Amino acid sequence: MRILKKNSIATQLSLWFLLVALLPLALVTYMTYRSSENSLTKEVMNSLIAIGQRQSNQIEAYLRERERSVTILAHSTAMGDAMEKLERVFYTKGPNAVARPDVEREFGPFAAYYQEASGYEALYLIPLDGDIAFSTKGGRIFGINLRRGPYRDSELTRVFERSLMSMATELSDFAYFEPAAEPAAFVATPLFRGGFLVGIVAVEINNEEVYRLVNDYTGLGRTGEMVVASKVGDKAVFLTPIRHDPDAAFRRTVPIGAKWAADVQEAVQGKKGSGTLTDYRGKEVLAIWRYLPYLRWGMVVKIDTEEAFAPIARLKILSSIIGMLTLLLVVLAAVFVARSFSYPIVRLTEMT
Amino acid sequence: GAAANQQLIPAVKWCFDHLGRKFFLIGSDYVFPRTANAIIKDHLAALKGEVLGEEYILLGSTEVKRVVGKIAQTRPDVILNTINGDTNVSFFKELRAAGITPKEIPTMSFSIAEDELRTLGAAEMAGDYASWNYFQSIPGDTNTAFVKSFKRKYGQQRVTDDPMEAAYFGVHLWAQAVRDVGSVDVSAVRQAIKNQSFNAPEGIVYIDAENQHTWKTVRIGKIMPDGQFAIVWTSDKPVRPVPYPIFRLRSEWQTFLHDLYRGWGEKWANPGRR
Repeated sequence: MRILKKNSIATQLSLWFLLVALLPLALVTYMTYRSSENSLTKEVMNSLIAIGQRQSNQIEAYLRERERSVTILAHSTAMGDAMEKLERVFYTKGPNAVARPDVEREFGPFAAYYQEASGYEALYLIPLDGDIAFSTKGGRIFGINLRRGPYRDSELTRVFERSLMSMATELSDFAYFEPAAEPAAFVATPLFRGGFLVGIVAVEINNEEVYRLVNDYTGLGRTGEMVVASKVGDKAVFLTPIRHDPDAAFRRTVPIGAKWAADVQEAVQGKKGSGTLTDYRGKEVLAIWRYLPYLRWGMVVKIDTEEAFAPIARLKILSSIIGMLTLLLVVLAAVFVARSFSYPIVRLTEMT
Repeated sequence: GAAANQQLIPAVKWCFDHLGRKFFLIGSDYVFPRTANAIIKDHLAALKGEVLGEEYILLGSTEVKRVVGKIAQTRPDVILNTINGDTNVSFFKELRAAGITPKEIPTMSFSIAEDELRTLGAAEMAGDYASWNYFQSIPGDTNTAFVKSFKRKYGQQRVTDDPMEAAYFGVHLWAQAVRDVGSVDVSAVRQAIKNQSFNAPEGIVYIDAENQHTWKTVRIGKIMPDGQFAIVWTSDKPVRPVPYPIFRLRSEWQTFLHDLYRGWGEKWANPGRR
């Protein structure tokens, strides 16, 4: 009976001590953990937003610069003169007229220099009827009519028509272009002579520079990557090789409405956002996404949560170790203090 | 609203390719029609088209007899109409009274949408055209949901049109910018609204960071007897806004606007005889 009484007081005191000491400790530890997790998530998100902004700014600046360069080119008198001469020879004497080489000798070196210096793949002069009257690529595409020929469904034809309709410099999407045997985009702008519209000047750009910008992983750790995709029918189609899938370009797709890769799906539909989700590999990621209008691309910048939250995982282990040690110390201290309090009371009770 | 290359210019080219090369320009006498017609005249000159007449009517005026007489006399292939508001009712009434039907001389309007057709009478207008970025008849889930919600709130007899849709997505873009900066401060929102995009009923719209105009899809519609538009042409992607058309330098367009403003006694509309 006495042993029971002694134990009961000591146990009760120990339990109360434990409660008073451990409850606030547990609460503080939990709150610190949550706060660190939130701060880290915010920090990672801000970093992804900054990287996304940097990448999209670079892509847009690159494309805008291409547009400006072609617009300025179209305002040079040499272009209008060349178009007029080429058109005259082309339509009066035929595409293979003897006089054509004279015009090309006169205009060709300037066009070739401009193309090379600007980093374009080709330069085309296309009169209003859609015949390619001049191409720095030479005979392969020369003389082909964009509206009736084999490239009537190409991006070159679309941008030619769009530029004529809007009377402004236009950029096409990137798509496979048979004469280039690789994906290409085109910038087209109206060409005037003496105030009259005489045709379109177009340049071809390859996707190397854009690939380079997309595959810049600076600040994206071991698992971070940037994905660009566009909506084709009811699918989002990946457009470039990516870090975790070098063969993704034009092969990897995400159906619109799928339960995974919501980031890519939303981005290609013009939505902007950020969050934690399951990516195209089935991995949980932190991602930000946005729309790039120049190429109608959806852009995603993401990093695996496993890597992003590695400091949190470390904090969790550290907190657990500290918690266990604290628990052990508090238990020992509580038992010792409880006994030192209960012992005199029990003794006194025994004596009376 | 749309920039010139997102409404006027494609419409003029479409008319030139499909309706004819002789144009008559008619508009209300304020800044938009005067500027629109300056752009159209530059454009038609570049295309080697012909302007048979250019007439303006004071804002709100119903004095249209003289102008319609000139149209009847010159017989253009197409009328480009930038008349604003109720003047349209008088204009089209007079036009039909003069025997000018859409079949003979079609009109391409830039301020007549589905809502105006309720007043003007779709049967009378059927066969004419308008150029906008949005029509109620655009197919797709997003627009279907938008039209359904609108009718549920405002009544089944009401119709949606371009200015309504522009107001709708404008509020969404603004709200996104406010969410991003966590403030309604005007200068903060002006910065944050750049690069915002939204999947609108007309398709994806996007605020251009350089000029803060909107990337929009361009459409041309033919008026049908039921008051809706049959879309006869659409741009294959959203068009980047170019506020100053290619035909003149930016400084020349600014001088043009300044001269209009000064000429009207520092007003943006012709005040008429005082």
